Amino acid sequence: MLKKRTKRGPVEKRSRMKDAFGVALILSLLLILFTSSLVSAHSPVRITILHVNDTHGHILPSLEKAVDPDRPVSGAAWMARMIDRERQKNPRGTLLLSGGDMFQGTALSNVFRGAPVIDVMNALHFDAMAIGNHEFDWGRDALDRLRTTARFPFLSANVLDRGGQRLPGVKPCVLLTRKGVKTAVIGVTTPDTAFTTKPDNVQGMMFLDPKAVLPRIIRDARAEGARLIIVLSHSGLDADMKMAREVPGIHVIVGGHSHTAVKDPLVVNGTIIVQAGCYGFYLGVLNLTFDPGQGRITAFTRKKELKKIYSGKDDPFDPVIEGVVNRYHGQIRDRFAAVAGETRADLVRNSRGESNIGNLICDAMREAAGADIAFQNSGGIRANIPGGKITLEQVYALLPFDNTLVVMELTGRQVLRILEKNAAGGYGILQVSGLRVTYDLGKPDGERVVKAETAGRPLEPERRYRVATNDFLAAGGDAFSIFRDGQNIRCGDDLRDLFSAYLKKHSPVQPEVEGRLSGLE
Amino acid sequence: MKMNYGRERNKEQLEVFVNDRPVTIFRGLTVKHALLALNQALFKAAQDGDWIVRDGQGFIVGLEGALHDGARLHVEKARGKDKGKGSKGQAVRERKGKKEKNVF
Repeated sequence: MLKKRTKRGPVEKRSRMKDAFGVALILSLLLILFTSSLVSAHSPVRITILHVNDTHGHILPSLEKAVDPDRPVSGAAWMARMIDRERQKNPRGTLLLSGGDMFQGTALSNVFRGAPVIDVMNALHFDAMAIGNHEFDWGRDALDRLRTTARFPFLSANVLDRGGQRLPGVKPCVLLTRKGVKTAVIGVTTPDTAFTTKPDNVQGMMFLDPKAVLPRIIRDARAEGARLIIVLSHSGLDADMKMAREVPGIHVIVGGHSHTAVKDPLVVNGTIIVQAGCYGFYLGVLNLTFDPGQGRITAFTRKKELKKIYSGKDDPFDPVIEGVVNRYHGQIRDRFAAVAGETRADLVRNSRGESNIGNLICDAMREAAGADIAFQNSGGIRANIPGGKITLEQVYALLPFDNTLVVMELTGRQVLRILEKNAAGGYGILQVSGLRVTYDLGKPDGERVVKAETAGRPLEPERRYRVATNDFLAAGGDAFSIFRDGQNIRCGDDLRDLFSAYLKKHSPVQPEVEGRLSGLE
Repeated sequence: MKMNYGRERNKEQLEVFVNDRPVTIFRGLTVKHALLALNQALFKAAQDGDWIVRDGQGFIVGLEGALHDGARLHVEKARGKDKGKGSKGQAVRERKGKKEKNVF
């Protein structure tokens, strides 16, 4: 036993030494880990903010002369590849954000009510999106569908219902942690949404001044441990600059709404402001060095923050995202073939006089607006449609411009001035609804309207009439500047949408040239 | 002195400046409408990509970009690629950027 013990003595000694060494090693490692964790908690970290805004449904490449005349730009699959490449540079420290207005604006996105875009955004793992004004274009139900399909939060801190409650499922802020840095991403929506959106779609909603809500939200986020404060703002660049001046404590504003390509980030009152143009032409790549201990940004991308998304045949793309886009692209032919309505008459344009298709479009506008009178420029009517079924594709060919309805009040005198101007021709005449006008082109300028009636009664110069038109004329297009004097303005639906709805309701239609504009040709 | 072509502006209208010329448009309308209000040929040229539009900071803005009261737009001939350096826009930006340098 002794012998054995004697023999075991050095072994035990070695064992004890090993144990002691092990304990010391573990303690040293723990000390190193503890020390390094203390250091890392206060060491500057690199955070990358990838951002887009105002994509407006542009998920296919396009040739944009003003961006690059020789090489296509934009396209979700190409953007995806670029996002992936940027993420690989900082895999644990990257945020992917959208400044809003992502869905409305192209046929591919519009006919599927934004579904292709939300699928792309989900596949790209967006972290958050601000709600833009155009997110309300298709009504609350469509917005709710998009929000519930999204695997990322829709943010808006300043949109409330009349009771002061947030919209269901919409958060003011989300806290995201990257490399141990808790980051608050706060969304704001332009207060102009209340004036620029079809009233039904924003009924019962309040769009508050962001300045009134941000300080409290920033304070609350800080109380929850947020160190880095990002405002995802769909307000426009100038409003963002104002926000930076008036609201302290914002590190970065990621913007949208004004479609500004902020190539080199702006710094206003210590806040960095970025915005990535529009239509997916650019990906914003903002690299920050953030000192969590001091709670400040010590370095950031000062130049060339926007990366142009090239989508030429030799440019790399993501085949998975291409598959998502192609799935919808393949279906659009079916959607376009869908029957929107039926006409018993050939629908024929005439830019020099009354046309039955002009009458039909104006009737649709007048009905949608509940207006007394409607005007549509002949130049905005771009196709004839033979009698029979009318497909959605034909509606797009007929009204290819992305015009919206604008409703305003004009006096009878102003309407008469428009009708006189109509006699001058120039760009092509205005088609009408709710009016019956007789011209005598033999008379001098300003006296050519010899009779003008609405609802069977003479137009009264001092009376105010509700007039529906499109945004092109509302801005004074085709030299009809009188529309710019309208009052009680309401912006409304997409013209194609309301025309399709009218066809659906009234088909089969049989519009005629019925003497609404006599003596004009 | 404000020149507004004899128009009385109401609260639903914005006054914006295109190449320093004031135009009124309805609130909610965009850059393209401001060009249209001033000159339809200018609007057409911008739509065709022959002309580009910069904001008061010198940054390029899209034709569907939102506007606010007092916004300033400068329309210039496109150079083919949207290079800011050396342009009037860059000069505007550099002048304005000198003041505010501190980072939060």
